[in-house]
Amino acid sequence: MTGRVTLEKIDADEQWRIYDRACRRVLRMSGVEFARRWDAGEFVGETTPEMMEVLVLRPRGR
Amino acid sequence: MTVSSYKVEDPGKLAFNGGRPTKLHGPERLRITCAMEYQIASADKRDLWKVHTTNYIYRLLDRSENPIVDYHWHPDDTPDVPFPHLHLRKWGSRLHYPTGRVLVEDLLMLAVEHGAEPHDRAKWARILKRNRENFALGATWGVPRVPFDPDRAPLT
Repeated sequence: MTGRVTLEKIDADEQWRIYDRACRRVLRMSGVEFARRWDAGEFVGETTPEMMEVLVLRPRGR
Repeated sequence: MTVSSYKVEDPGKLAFNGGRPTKLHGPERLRITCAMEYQIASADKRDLWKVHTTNYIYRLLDRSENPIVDYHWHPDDTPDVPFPHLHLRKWGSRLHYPTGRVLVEDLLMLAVEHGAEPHDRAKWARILKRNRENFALGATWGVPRVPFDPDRAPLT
């Protein structure tokens, strides 16, 4: 089966849902918790590939 | 595939399959994930636009979604690791092995080497060549030094 690639424009809330879902799946914590701990500098010098995997999905400014 | 912005200078997010692993055709039943940030900018005075990639995370996973290798570039988030790199996840390594710029096409070529099967290999080779040539036309860094030869790609 071949699947067509579709392009969908999403809003900031949907982007946040994608990020939050990835946080829960990959890091076993909510997007809010990861954002809070990341912004507090808790992971400075201790970043992991898993963190970067979800961080790329986090909406800027949230 | 989702994108979060078409506004000029507004950082946007692009993700395949909502950030979840995407299954590839082939007996190995590999998965990939692709996500990146981009910024749209005016390219010149002819009302043309250019999309700059500002970071990326590409991953190749096995059928159980265990990571094989990750290709990362996230200079803004990790100033101590500003260069493109890979993580040899299958071997448990979290070290940052420097790489050149990696394209989605590179990840797919690796997947093919690992057993993924394009539905139409001739079409795959054409698209690969066209995409690389288009990339070389507008890229500001990470352009391949030699013309890409699809006949030498790992297709057979």
